[in-house]
Amino acid sequence: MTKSDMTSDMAPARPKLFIEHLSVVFNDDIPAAIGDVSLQIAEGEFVAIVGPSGCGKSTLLKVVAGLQAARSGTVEVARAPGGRDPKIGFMFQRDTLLPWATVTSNISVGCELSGVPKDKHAERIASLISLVRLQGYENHYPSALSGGMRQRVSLARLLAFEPDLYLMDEPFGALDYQTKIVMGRELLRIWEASRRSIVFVTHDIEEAVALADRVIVMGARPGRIVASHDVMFERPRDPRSLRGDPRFGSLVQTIWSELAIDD
Amino acid sequence: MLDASTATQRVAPTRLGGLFKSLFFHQALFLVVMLMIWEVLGAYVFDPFWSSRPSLIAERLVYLAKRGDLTWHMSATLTEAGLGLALGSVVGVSLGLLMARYTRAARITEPLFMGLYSLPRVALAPLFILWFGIGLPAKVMMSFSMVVFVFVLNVLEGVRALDRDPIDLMRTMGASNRYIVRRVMLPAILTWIMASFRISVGLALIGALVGELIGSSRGLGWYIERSAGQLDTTGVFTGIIILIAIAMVANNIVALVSNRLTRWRA
Repeated sequence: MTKSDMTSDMAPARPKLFIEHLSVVFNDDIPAAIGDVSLQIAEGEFVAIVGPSGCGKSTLLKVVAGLQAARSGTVEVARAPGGRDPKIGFMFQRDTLLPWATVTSNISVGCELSGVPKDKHAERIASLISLVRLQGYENHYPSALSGGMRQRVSLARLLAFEPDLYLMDEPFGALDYQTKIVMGRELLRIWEASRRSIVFVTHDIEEAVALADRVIVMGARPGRIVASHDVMFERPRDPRSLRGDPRFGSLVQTIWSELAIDD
Repeated sequence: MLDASTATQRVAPTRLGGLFKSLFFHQALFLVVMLMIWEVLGAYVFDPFWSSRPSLIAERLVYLAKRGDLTWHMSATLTEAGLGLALGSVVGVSLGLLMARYTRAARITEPLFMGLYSLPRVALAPLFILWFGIGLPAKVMMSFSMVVFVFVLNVLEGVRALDRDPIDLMRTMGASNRYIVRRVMLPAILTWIMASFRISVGLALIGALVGELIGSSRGLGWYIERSAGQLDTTGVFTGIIILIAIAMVANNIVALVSNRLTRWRA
């Protein structure tokens, strides 16, 4: 059975990520960061979350990753095949690379924490470096790389970890427009080959529509889900040509209006 | 075309021309000129009794080297400063890490540390001589007292300045504490430790010297002190020149090691 068969057969049975009545409160004097959010993400699904700043979209990821405690509610990540604990991979807007480690050494952090046998590391890292197109930069330090290249190293580190669930918090948010488009395309190319579940937080509506299977719109004070849209474009996609499609424009418009209501 | 050819000439000077333009050459030239001025002033303007002369100092250096006095005194001072620095770095780094780990205890003890840090350590010299005699231990302790707080405070600051994001990231990936210490904390603190060494090399020498000046039977401090007592200006200057040379070499070694270990700071 191939991975894509698995997603279509097993997706309805059990969600990869199951969130119910989640609420997160930082301070009782201000509205909840997240108030009663329920959300399910299927195996192999690519979900984007958009919303204004302060709507709790980043907080949501942190709760799933275990970096933030919830006030109440349920968050469950499905067990990985074989019953082992699921591996959750997080990617921040900042590159969070180790400045004293070379590209190779930074990517190997992912291998080391994934439990891959040590003798396989070199081979894995080499293939990931070519996957994110960083050949020739193996022994460079992050300070010698551009912002886009650093995020590609972060992405390779994330892939090296082989997560069962990807949590990406505005991973391309700090990049310039062109680099962002290119990185989005690279992410799709890589994702379409492996089809793991991704929760992708962004404030860029076009990016969300271009990449995701489903776009969830969040509102602030308290953080809550305002709307959810299935994105109908077939895969594999080319995010750049998609932007010329009239359906693309109308979906972006719809989401824009949903966000505007909130202000 | 003409512009291009002149430009080529400018970027590819002869080897000798490169030497004359190099910073090192200018530095050496400056040093030689200063020594010549000193020599002339010492010979014709001032009484060499007060200022000595480079030629007299050079003569003394050769004399000391031949008699074995040079290594005898130098090795004493270097051992004192070296041991003080080694002890200070080990104790300082450990204390700094402990204080970073146990924040409550750190807050309680911080006033004491700040008080000791603010104290001019020279004031401790008589006490150390009382406790440890005029031998090696008193000077090592002097050196130690000069450098230990540099390490404590730097390591403490290094831990406080740690970037939390990579640590959080590794935690979500299931990293153990040991892994985080090895992969994130130690390398991050290493740069602060190297910075401490750069500051401490000179301080360790000061500690050893102060100890020797106050009470000793050998070492460069002792030699300077004894020469001054005999109104031997040349001896005093000889000691000072040796100290300058030692400090410069030590600083360069530390800078070299530090640059090697922090190559990633492009």
